[in-house]
Amino acid sequence: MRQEIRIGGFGGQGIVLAGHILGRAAIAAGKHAAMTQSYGPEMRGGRVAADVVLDDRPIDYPKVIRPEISVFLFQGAYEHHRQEIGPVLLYDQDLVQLHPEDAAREGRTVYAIRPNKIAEELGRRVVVNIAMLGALTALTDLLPAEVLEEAVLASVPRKALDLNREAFRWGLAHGLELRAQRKEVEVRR
Amino acid sequence: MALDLREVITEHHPEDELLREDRIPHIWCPGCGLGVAVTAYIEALKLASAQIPLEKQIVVSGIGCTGRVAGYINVDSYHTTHGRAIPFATGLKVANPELEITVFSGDGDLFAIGGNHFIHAARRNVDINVICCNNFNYGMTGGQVGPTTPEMAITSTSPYGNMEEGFNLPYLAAASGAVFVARWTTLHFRKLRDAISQAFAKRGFTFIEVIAPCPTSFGRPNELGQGLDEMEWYRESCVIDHQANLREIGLSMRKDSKIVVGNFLDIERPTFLDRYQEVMKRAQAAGGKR
Amino acid sequence: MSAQVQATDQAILVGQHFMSGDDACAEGAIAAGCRFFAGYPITPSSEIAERMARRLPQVGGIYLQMEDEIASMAAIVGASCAGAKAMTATSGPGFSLMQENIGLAFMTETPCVIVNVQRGGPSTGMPTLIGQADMMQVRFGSHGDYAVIAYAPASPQEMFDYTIKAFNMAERFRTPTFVMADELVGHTYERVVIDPAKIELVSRKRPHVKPGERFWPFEPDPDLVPPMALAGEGYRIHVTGLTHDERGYPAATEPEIQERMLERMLRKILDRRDEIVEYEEVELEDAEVVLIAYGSTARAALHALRLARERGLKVGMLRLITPWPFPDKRVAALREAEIIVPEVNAGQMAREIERWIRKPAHRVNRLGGELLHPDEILRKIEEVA
Repeated sequence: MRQEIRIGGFGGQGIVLAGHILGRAAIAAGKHAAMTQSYGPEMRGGRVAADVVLDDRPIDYPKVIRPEISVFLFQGAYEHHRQEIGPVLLYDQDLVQLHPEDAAREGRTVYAIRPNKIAEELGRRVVVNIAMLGALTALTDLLPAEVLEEAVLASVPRKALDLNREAFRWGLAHGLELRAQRKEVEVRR
Repeated sequence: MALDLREVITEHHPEDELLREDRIPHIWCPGCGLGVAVTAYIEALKLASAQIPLEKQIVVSGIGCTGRVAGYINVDSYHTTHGRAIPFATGLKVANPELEITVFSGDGDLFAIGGNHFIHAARRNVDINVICCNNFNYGMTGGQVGPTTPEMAITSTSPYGNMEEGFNLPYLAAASGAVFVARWTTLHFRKLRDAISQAFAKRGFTFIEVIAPCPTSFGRPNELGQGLDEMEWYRESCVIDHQANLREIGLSMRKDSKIVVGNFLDIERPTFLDRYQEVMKRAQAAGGKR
Repeated sequence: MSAQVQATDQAILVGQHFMSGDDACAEGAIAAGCRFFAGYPITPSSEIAERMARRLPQVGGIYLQMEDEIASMAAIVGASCAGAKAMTATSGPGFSLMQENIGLAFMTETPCVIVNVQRGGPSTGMPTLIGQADMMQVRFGSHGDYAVIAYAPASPQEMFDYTIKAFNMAERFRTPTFVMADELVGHTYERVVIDPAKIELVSRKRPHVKPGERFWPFEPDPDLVPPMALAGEGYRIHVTGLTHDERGYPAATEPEIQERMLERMLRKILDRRDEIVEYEEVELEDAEVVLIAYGSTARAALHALRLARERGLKVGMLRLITPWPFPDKRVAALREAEIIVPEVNAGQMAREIERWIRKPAHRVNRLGGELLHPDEILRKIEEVA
């Protein structure tokens, strides 16, 4: 089954690396994966998106057509891509302010995640992408967490292994918590 | 006893071993300076042959009258595209550092269409020799104005005089990073040969300018006379000054001017490949496949 | 001469990678034995230069950043004359500058590989965005008549595989060959599997005689390809971009030599076109509508094809892997079908296709900057089906 994921942020947040890790994990798990990128016109610090397509069969069109899952860590990226948001939306509540109509759409699941806060608490904002991947893994059923964690550790500098492992696991726990909360709400309904 | 002309004609020329006999006669005009420059190069090849075997000597040319040099010399020779002899030679040299490569080309080829390559090869200090036969015009195509044509000189495309100043080649070469810079005329056969020998021995980018008569296209309209007349004028006007201030040795080629010649510069600087060895060491020490 | 690569060759990154097309191209070159790269940075091919700059010194090769693409092309021809397998990579503006010495490589029968990661043109155009508008330039861009071998890879894996193949063909035929990628295939990350057991390498033929014996550098074997002597081996060769005879000597005023030599240089490739031409057929058996596409566009076309098949439309695709030599016989055999040609240009390969189907094709074009969307191609399928 074809699944399309868009991760949007700004240059310096490690968005492309996050997309790369997701793709790398997918092929390690025996899936097919393709990642493409798009940028704003700025040379540095502008919006960036890593678009990842996952599939069980070889991927024909490698670009995202209508993302099933969108993740935004930057207002500018969210604004640029908001017409293409699909059934699942994750956004960093400390970095992105959602338009109310995007939050309340019929058939859409929205998670306010806090990877930036996790990264700040770890003392290194650069791991925001890894914390986000943890949350994404927990909140979707894209790939098993172990596979993702392995891909994270294989992709980051050796001297930063512990930091990244911690960021990923913290993000994962944070995501699982959000998921559990949602379930509770759904059950109560 | 009558002289048997056939015998004289078939007798070997002293440079036959290093000339492609089957390509002679050459295309150059009577009085042209290129033959002298080629002979000086061949003599230098022979003198160096104990240190540099002839099969490692390579000559590369661009396009033009001097560009044809590659076709007459019996070593591995490459006649490339207009202006591109230097980057071609750069590829040859770094792919096989054992080769002793000499780019033999003209002023238009090396300094107009190929000027950018010249300054960058000098900057890189790639270990090649560049010999420029400077005859101040595009001879092969009928004597058009070129990058070394002196101010107000007459050519077929500057019929009222050249409004541009010509390059001062030794100054340009030195400023660009050459480690050996010389200028001689075709009158200074032995000095030229010795400069070429020095260039062979030198590691790094060397440059020799050879002032050469082009009586057909440049000499005539600029009152330099026939080839021999121009050689006589060289004898009168040349000043050997190895210590010359390069800034001041531009050429006007007017009968009342001087031509400063000499071996102006001889310095040491790491070559491209010297530094590349260092880079390779670092890359390999860094290890890992990435 | 062909040989299997050594499985232990440290230069080859054995295994499975999630890699961009540009990176895969560089790794393919290294696996093919490329040890010389000269180039000039240009989007969207710079990643190839960057990877070569990092990788070549590790494997004892030379990376040389030249002053422009003219020099880059001249340098790889020179390096190949010294025996190196040599490559450059560029995009449209640089490809234009390379045309001069691409002609030199063809005329002097010097193997080398030129990669063009196409972007939107003309001129500076759209540096960061896709184009496919150099497909005719690769065929006709340098002056004079010459024959071209060009690959149009559609994925990072094919960037790896066909860069190796481009080297093999260059060496086999003593000719420049081309990898005509595009921005999307260059920048897409995908699985790339590098398996030494599947890599076969070809090296240029060497002289059959020793230095000092009679050797004419442009005297061909029966396959019309002359063995190649390298600089510094003692054969005392002369090599020129002028029209030359078998000895390598200029014959610039002799039309019969031009006729003989150039005809041979064209025939050495074109007589073997059946061994060179590659394409992929997708569901052509019952197809009433046929998409003919190449590069990234073929992937949008494949997506459209699958959607159309789901709707019961009899659609197939012929994917051109070698746009040049053009698979003329295969295309001609499709003339009964409705032919759709999607490309990111104003209709370049469509012209060649129309020559062989002898009727107008249904063209779907984007002028650059964006890949065709599968929906656009699907609409055209529905329109003509």
